[in-house]
Amino acid sequence: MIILSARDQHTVMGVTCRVEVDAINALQLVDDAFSQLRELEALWSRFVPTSDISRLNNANGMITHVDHRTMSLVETMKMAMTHTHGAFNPTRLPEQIALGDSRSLTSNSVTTLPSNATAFLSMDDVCVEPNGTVQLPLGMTLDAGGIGKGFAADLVAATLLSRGAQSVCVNVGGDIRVSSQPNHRRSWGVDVLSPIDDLVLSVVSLREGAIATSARSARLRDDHGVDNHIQGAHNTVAGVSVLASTGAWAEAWTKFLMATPDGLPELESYGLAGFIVFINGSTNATSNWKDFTEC
Amino acid sequence: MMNDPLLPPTERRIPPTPTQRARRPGPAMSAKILATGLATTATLGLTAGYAFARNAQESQLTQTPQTHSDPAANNAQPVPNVSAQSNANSNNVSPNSVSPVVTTAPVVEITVPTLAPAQPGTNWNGANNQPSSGSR
Repeated sequence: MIILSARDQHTVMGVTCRVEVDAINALQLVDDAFSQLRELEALWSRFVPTSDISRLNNANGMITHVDHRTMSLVETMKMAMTHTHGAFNPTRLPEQIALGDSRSLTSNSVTTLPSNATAFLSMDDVCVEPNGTVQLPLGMTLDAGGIGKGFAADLVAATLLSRGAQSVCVNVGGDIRVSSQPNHRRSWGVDVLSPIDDLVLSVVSLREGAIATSARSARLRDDHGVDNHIQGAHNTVAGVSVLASTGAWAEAWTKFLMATPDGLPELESYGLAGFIVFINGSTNATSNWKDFTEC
Repeated sequence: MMNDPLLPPTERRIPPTPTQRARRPGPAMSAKILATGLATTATLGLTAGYAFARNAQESQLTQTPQTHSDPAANNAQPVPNVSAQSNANSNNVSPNSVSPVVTTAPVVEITVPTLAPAQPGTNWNGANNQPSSGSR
């Protein structure tokens, strides 16, 4: 049995996605990965009027039928918002748009929201029913944003393994999920880049799990986008990275660390590892961060 | 008697005494009983047959293989723990079917990824490292 390694990269979900697969049918699986990423983009993009997220945002409190993956995404959002004490808050899209973040970075598409759209402090009133429906409270809108990318990386990695891949690395704009079959122990190296000058600040090795990085200026490209799109970010923090079991959780906790730079001990109490880059160039990390780095 | 049309008209009939054993039914009566029995049996048999057939068809409908539109649901890995099951295909009945179609709402199991630590690796080979630099 010959295991091949194949890799490719494309722009999907408005970001650069890189997929690498070890498998007998590695080339086919890489293609499958990008097909699934495009499918998830069609479900979750706020710039696609027919996406589940756009339909939910314009449902004005009505029940909306959505794909089961969207249901899981919304449930994950609810749980992440609770766990991070509201630091991860996907309902702040109206504030984000008010700051000028209404236009796609890869097309001329624009996000449109109802006039009554507003940010919420809790997602407790969001109803996700097993029959395939989601109901948002009147005025609530969602942005899949980073957690959508992390969750997409999780779903694609799981799909590839279920189709015979031995080991996979799925990178969706910096939210990276790696996973392997139990009998295939491959480690994946990740360069954590500085949000200030793109220099490599830390090199991480992962066998199973995910790393997500959030930067204050993540949506600033060629003077297009907004400089400070992460609402609630602490004014001393330039960017953070978090290591967790999944891309969705890693991404959610980056928002916690962006808002709470002194929250490293809490992060570590969950077994997660975190790394902070401050505006002045200094860094800080949980004590277990070194377990993932070359000493 | 009608059953003895060839009996001589002069012959006297002796009615059976109470102690005498009753006369056995004639061939016509036997035929009637037989026919009734056969009809009853046939009716019961057909009813049972239709009942079995209907049960079998309904059973077949409810046992339509459940579809997994998300292959990730079949993944043995513990994460991302997303699975979905739908029985919406139970509506795939031929137009000629006479049995009632039982429509049920899709049943979807909603799970979220488990919050757990990542597992460190042992390879820091910089040549093929993936970059993590925020959502870009």
